[in-house]
Amino acid sequence: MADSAETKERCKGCDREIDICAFCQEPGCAAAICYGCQNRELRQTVPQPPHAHGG
Amino acid sequence: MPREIRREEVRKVVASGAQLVEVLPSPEYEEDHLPGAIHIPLRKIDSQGVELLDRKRAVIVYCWDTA
Amino acid sequence: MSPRAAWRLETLGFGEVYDYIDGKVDWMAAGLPTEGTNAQHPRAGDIARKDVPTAGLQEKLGDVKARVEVQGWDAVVVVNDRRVVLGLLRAKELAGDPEQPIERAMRPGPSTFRPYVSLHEMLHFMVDHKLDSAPVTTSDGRLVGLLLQKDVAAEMEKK
Repeated sequence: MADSAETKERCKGCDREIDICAFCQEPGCAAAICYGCQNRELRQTVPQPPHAHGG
Repeated sequence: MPREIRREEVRKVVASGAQLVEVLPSPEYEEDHLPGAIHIPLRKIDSQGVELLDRKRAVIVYCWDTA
Repeated sequence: MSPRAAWRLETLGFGEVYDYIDGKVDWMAAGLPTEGTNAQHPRAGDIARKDVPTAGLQEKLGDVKARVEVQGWDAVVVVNDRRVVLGLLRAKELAGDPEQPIERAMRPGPSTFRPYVSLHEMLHFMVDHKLDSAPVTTSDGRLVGLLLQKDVAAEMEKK
């Protein structure tokens, strides 16, 4: 029986399962990262500022 | 009542003489602030803290984002 | 935080108070200048190649490839008439069937990066992910330029 299970990646930041790396969008990326972690690390459209300021 | 404005209006209001105030803590202000903005952290906004500001002119406050 | 600051200023007798609700991140994401210690160092938007070739969805891949190869490029950003980024063609995509339209050949919805992102962080990511180039856009998706890993590395060498 053929193995039909799709290979999923895990985000190196939060370990959540992701379809594809948000940064390079290459399957099998060894440094795969999700959009949330990428944006936090690059400080893009960030839900948190670089220094916590209490909203 | 304070009015919410967007980027383009910020530029217009500043061009017509408004004062820009960043209310984030010092490290963030020191790293990056809008051109000409002065720094008054939120916790310092009191009768003494606002002595730098001219009450007769418009004031625009901002922080990091909508949070 | 800024809404509370705005209301507090009103209680202190300020008559005309505005709240720039989208804040500093919105300003920087639009590629507008800032002052401060970070502003002295170049960021992604400063060294992204503004002359990167662009193409429209309906162009033919072969035509685009011929056009950009003459200019010495092996990457093309696909944009609409407002310069909003729709796709990307790197060497791999440019090597495809020359008869197919860009719309089919392109890598759709590429990750884009804001102009204020630090070079240090971008270089780290680009090396880790073996990415030679990355499109830089404003927050509304308009192309600023293409950031090349070799340019970032050269800029970091200067420090």
